[in-house]
Amino acid sequence: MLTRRSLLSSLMTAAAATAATPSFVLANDKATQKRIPWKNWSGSQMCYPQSRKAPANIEELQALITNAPGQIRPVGSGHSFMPLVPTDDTIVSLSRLSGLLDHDAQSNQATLWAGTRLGDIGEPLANAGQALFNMPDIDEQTLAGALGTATHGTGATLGCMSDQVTGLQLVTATGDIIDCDKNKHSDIFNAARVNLGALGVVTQVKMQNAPKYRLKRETTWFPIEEILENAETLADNNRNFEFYYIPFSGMGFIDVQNITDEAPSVTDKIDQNDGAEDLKMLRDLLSWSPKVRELTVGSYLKTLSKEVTVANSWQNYASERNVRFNEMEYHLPRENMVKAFKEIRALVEKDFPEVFFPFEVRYIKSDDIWMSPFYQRETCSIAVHRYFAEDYKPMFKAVEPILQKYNGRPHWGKLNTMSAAQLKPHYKNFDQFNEIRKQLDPQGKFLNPYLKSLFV
Amino acid sequence: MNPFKNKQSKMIALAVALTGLLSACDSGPSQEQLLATSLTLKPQDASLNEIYQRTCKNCHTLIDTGAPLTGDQHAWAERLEKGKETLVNNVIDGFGGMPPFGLCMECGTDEFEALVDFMAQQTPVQK
Repeated sequence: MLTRRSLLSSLMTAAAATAATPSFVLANDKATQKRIPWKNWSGSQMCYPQSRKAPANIEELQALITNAPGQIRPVGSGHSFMPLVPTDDTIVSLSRLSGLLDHDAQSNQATLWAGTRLGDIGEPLANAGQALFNMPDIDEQTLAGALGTATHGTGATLGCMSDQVTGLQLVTATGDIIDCDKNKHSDIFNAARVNLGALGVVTQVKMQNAPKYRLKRETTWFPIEEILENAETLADNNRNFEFYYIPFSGMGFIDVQNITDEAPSVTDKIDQNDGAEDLKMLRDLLSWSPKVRELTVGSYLKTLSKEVTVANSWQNYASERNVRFNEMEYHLPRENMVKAFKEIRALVEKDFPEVFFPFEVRYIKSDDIWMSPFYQRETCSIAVHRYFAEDYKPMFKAVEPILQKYNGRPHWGKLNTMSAAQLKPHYKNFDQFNEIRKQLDPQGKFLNPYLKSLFV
Repeated sequence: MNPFKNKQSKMIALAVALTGLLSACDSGPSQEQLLATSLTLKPQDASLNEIYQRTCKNCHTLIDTGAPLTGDQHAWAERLEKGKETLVNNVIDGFGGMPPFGLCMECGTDEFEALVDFMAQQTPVQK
């Protein structure tokens, strides 16, 4: 009997036998580095900071902010694709301000250091009987970084992570500490829940959590037309629903998660990192013929059976991402998703045979946070990706106008070219946010060139 | 019949026994054993240990992250063949799932090198 991998190998061998030389050359532009630069995870952002600091306590952070010359930019784990961090002056990490500070069993609220990695939150919270309502599919980010960029998971009834923040602490440009919530310094709270790291350094966050829970995750492959037809129903009928489309295959998979009491279990799973490498190999072999490629890849994907994983919630949201990529993601009004998706698919499959990374579609509940892309809007997000070592710009440049045409707002942490003038119509509190920013940081200590382009 | 009745047959038996031993060595410790070992190891230097506990340990004591386990000398030897400078550069740039600087944003190359040495257990294991 053929295994999945041997079937894939057979298909590839057969296809390769008919293949001519691949019709394009892969980009190979990874620069060699002689000095110690800071780079983000994908390598798309880089700087040479004079100083890299990780204060051990609030007092050290206050002294650092007060005394450091030039700009200061907070850095998390470098998972933002946008130039939010780069500065040639000082970058400050909260990696030594990490962990659970306090929790309240009655309210299911917990206070965490903002430097805590999302992947390090689940276990201590579970020990306190709590769990985050939702999490993204990567959990390497720090809490401060995730909140600063309105990072989100999927689920039509679930807001982005910032939507669960009930209070936070900031150290401002003057070294002052501000504790804020919906009653105390409410304007600062409204601005700081999604803040781009422009208001100061967020040090502590109080989160509204759920009693700890277990999730059953079911992953199933379908023709993409079938997924699009049923997407709205799936989003309404499952706690967490998202889908991926494999370009040039006609096939995608849906991921649904629901709360369960079933015992933890796991079926045979395809390794997503191996999967990305396989798709790259198929692209290399078959991009000369989209039809042969769709037949080969689609035939393989149709053989994949359903995967089911039951696990504690915090263990079931994220996957290891060992194959690096660059990403563009826009948040669209939910009703625009199918139209936008179809246009993007047609464009990519006509003009960009080099693409092999999946498209990803997720759902997010509306919120009332000033700088949230989900502000007063039920949202569906579409993300496109390019392998990190290949040039993302041509494809993203072609896709972005479609996402904008359908009234999309860019993810603050993912590649986009929107200027302040383009962003303002999407954010009715944009100027109000900037007023708060100016009050807290009149000298622009936390503004790097990108943030200056937005706020000065 | 005594199989070791002469010197030649004794040598053959010894060779077979050694081959068996070497084969046993080839199989090496199981992933579970390596994982258990990784969890017992920590740098002796206090400041290096503080960095290790909040950064490298997050992935290098877990199976299936793609990161070699701390103390898995075989896995590290393969990587060290690229040269230690390459490994340190991989830490600085990020590599696979590993974020840039391995999450130690304030570390310098000396610290990265010391952490690689520790995780590769180039010196005798200190428990």
